[in-house]
Amino acid sequence: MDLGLLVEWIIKSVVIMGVLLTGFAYETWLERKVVSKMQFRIGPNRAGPFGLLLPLADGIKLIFKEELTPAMADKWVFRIAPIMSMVVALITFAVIPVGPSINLFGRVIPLRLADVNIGLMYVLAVSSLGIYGIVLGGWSSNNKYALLGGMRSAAQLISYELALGLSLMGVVMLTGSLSLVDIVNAQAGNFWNWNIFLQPLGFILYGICGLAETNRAPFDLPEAEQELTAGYHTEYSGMKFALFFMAEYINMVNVSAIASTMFLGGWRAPFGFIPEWTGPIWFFIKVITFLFIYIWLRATVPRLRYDQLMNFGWKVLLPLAIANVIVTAITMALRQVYAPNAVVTVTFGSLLLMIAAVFLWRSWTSRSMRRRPPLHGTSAEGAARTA
Amino acid sequence: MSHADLTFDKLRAQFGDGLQREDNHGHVSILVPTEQIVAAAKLLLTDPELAYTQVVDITAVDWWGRSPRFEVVYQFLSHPNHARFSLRTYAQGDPPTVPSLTSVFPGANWFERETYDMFGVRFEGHPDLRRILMPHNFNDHPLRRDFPLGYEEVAFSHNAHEIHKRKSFTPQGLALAAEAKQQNPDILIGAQSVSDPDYKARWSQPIEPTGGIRQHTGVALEDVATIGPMAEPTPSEDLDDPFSGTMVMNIGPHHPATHGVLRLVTELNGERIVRVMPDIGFLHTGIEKTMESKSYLKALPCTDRTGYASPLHCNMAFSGCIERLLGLDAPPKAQWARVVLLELDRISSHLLCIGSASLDMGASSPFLWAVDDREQVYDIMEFTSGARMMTSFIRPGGLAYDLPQGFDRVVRRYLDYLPSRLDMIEEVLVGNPIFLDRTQNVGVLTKADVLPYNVSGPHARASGIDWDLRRDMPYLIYDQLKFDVPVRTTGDVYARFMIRFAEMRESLKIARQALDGIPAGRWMTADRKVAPPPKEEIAISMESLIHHFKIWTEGFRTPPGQAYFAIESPRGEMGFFMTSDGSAKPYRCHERSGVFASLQAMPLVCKDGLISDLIAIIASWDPILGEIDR
Amino acid sequence: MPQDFLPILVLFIMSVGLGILVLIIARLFGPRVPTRAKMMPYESGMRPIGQAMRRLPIRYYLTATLFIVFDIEIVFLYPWAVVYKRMNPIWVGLAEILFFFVLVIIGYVYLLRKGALEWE
Repeated sequence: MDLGLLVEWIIKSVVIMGVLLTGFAYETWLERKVVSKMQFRIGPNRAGPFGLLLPLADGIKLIFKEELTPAMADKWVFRIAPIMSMVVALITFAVIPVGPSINLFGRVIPLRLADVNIGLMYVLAVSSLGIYGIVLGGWSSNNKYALLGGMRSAAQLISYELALGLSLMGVVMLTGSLSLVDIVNAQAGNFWNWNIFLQPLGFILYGICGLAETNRAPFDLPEAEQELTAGYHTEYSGMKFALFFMAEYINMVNVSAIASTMFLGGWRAPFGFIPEWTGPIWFFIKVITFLFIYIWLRATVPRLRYDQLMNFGWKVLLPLAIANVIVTAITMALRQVYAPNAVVTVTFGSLLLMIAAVFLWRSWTSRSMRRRPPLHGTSAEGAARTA
Repeated sequence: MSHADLTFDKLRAQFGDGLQREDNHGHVSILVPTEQIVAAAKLLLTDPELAYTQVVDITAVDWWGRSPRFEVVYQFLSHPNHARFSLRTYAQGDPPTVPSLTSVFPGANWFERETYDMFGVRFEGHPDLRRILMPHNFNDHPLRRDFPLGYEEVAFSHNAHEIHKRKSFTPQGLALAAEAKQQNPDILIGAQSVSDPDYKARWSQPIEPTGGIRQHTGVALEDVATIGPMAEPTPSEDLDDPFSGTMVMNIGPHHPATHGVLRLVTELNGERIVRVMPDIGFLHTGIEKTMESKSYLKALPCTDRTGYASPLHCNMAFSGCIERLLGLDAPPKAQWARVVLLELDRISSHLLCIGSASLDMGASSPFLWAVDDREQVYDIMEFTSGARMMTSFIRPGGLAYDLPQGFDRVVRRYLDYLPSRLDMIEEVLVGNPIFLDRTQNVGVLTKADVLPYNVSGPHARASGIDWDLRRDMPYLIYDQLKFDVPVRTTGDVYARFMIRFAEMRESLKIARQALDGIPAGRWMTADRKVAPPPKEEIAISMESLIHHFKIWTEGFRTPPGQAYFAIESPRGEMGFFMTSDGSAKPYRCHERSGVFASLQAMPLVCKDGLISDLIAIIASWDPILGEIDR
Repeated sequence: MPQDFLPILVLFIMSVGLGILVLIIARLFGPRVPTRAKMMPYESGMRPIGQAMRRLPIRYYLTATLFIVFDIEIVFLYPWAVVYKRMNPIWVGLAEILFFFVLVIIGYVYLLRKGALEWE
């Protein structure tokens, strides 16, 4: 191993961290600005032009805040938990290709930190480690809100992890590789080669599960401020809180990046004739689009209830994801045997499944989800009185 | 024969001819011997002809110096007959005791607790006679006439600990008070501003946090100040046992979803609610005591401060009660203008409720839209009265000033603007399946529980009780207006929201009609004993000058007597009960708030829900703590 | 290849370093004036009733157990998904996975029937 390679890795790591941290900061700005427009407000406009310096001001403020550790907290776990969350969020990005290889100073530099042959497995494995930070943070605070937040989070994340893993499987089957670089390359050419057209249901499932995995509205139960004040980070203040906050927003970037990579051709431009070096720009645009949808949802939808959330994960998403895998397998087999060139079969199967799912979902919601018995029975004397 | 006469006859037939009837400006009350009060209440409820379905208010009057000293007053309301009736009784013995009505009317519970808390009148047979507004370790009854109006130190987080020690209700405070009393017998107990030279030195020292996971929280933080009232929770399992199945958690007072400082001691099994015990009184400011020390006109601004989400309704209930005592009607212009303002006030209150409810359920945009629309109501109020929130615009005898020029145009513009906005907010909420799932079949208050638990207003109408004071016992000029009373039958959180949307639309209708009907004329009664004469008259009339002087110094007097006046506030029946001794200050002034009464039904509907349901239920209950705690 | 993961190790070390650095900076600049009331766990401004670290309802553990069962199934599926395309004849792969899913679905239906997925 030569020293140059090590230097390259270090530089790339610094760039990844820098971009993600700046991205996190400006994501908060973007969120405030977009939500404020949707709510007929002005939003941040004091610090710098358009409030652009606000994230900086926030960061400085948080550094100078007092950090509290509650009296009965498990101190070391309390300290480690936010670091854990943030580290996991940062290293998830390592395997995501953001562009082609470029020539710089006589070296061929691929625009990604690592190309591991099990890239997708790595992403799934590492991103589920993020639960530990949240659960341990909630548990170690010795605070009931935090504990409930942590528990909610654990239950939610592991429930949606299943559907998330299965929703990406269709893409893996179509590509025949777990390497994210291979997956992007398989989608080369014009935009109709993108996996979203082969796996529309998988894409939607992944989008929903991604929302749940990042604890964003309408799945923001672990930190539902109206229910659990702040959920798992109730007791966190100052930079420790900032680390959790950072982890959440970087996870949003990660989920958006993975969705782009898996379903929207990654850094590939929508048309084959566009030069490859524009890759990072396209990647950025795709990620920003996802982030905008995240923010949009947050401004629009109310929060789910815990039992509804779990029902949705286990009884809707999981069966749908399994069905998606089966349908993909069957259509792929059909295609290989009968019509080797018909891409349409896979798409067709997936779409058919989606329509079936919508119908099932509607009948199911009307029967099961709204079928809660009245919480309180009639008291006999009261009935006698009004009768 | 009026319904009150019938009631009187029936009661006399049952309890003998010795009953004394008192008619005061349409307020009919009967003095019942203490031991017969439960039987009398039962008769009022069970007799099919009388059918007094609700005891809407219970309070006491302290006739200091007389014997017996405490008069307990009950207000009954008959929904089928649209009639009110009042029973009075004297609390006998030491401590003063009356039998509790909770066995007949479960909704009497909190009113009796409040009366016990404020006057020390014990209610025999009450299931849960604890303090409700004052701290549980307070050792006096503040609404007694001999309780001093004294200085109270303001507790902040940095000095709460010290002040708490000095408070008269803690052991340390009692010792200090006794010591101080020995040295100076004239000292007031509440006013011990003990100057402590070590104070700053002791509190600037950092305290090392105590460590260890398994240490018992309660012991390690034993002497941390606990401010405010504290319910003594009696959960089904040992609280301190970490292996017990349930967990007791405070939701509130400092919680984003409790709309103020409502505290709910919640017993949880995981996320499921086993029991909810509401604890109120954190915003108790003794406003009734304050009002009793002020002349009528000066007491009026206190009412704004109670129901701060609908201040004009508080003004109206208070002014209406005084007008009833005086036997006076506001001039037509004032009555019509009051209706316009009250309906705008109702819209603003309902918008706040719905907006904050959507925020509580995680949708932030409708909240800001609602607040935006609400601001415009404030703009109208500012344009009309000069104040945005605490307007005190409705005064005894009429309005504070004439309506400004352009009032009609400004209000009309708002009435034209709001419907589309309401549609937008409603569409975003009701069109969302998550919102429906969060609200439908959640927190169901059955129709059978509404009247016994003293629920009124939108909460009752959501459960199928077709009752609106504006239509059924009209005040002002509501009987001349055409409007519908929206009623829903499901009684869930969803129904409570939909009722509010429908009521806002009805309010728009009412406001438009009232706006069309505002006649010309005076905005204030011409009775110079009540309303100050106009400035130009003072220059030419000696009597006017004297009236002006009397009103602004002493205030106007009311004839002795009692009155109860209730209106339909956005949170149910809001009433004022006033006892006058003929002076310029109310001898007893009691505010009956709709949500104070209906909050006692909330634990019923929270049972077996999840925490998220509890939040939705609180939001749908629309508790305004200023109104509850007063 | 294991050495493919070396750059990730570099990023990992640097991220951990950043996390620790941030906490050290905050410790250097932030004030530290703990008082008892401030150190009290936050429970809406009231003194907490009982401990927070306590026994949890069994539901949460059940969820975790179910997760492990299903997650292992997904782990089994991934290798199959990678090679499925290249299987010859592809019917073998399809039959295998259909059989596998039948087993999974039987388990799922069993859970459903037993009420393990009822969150009410």
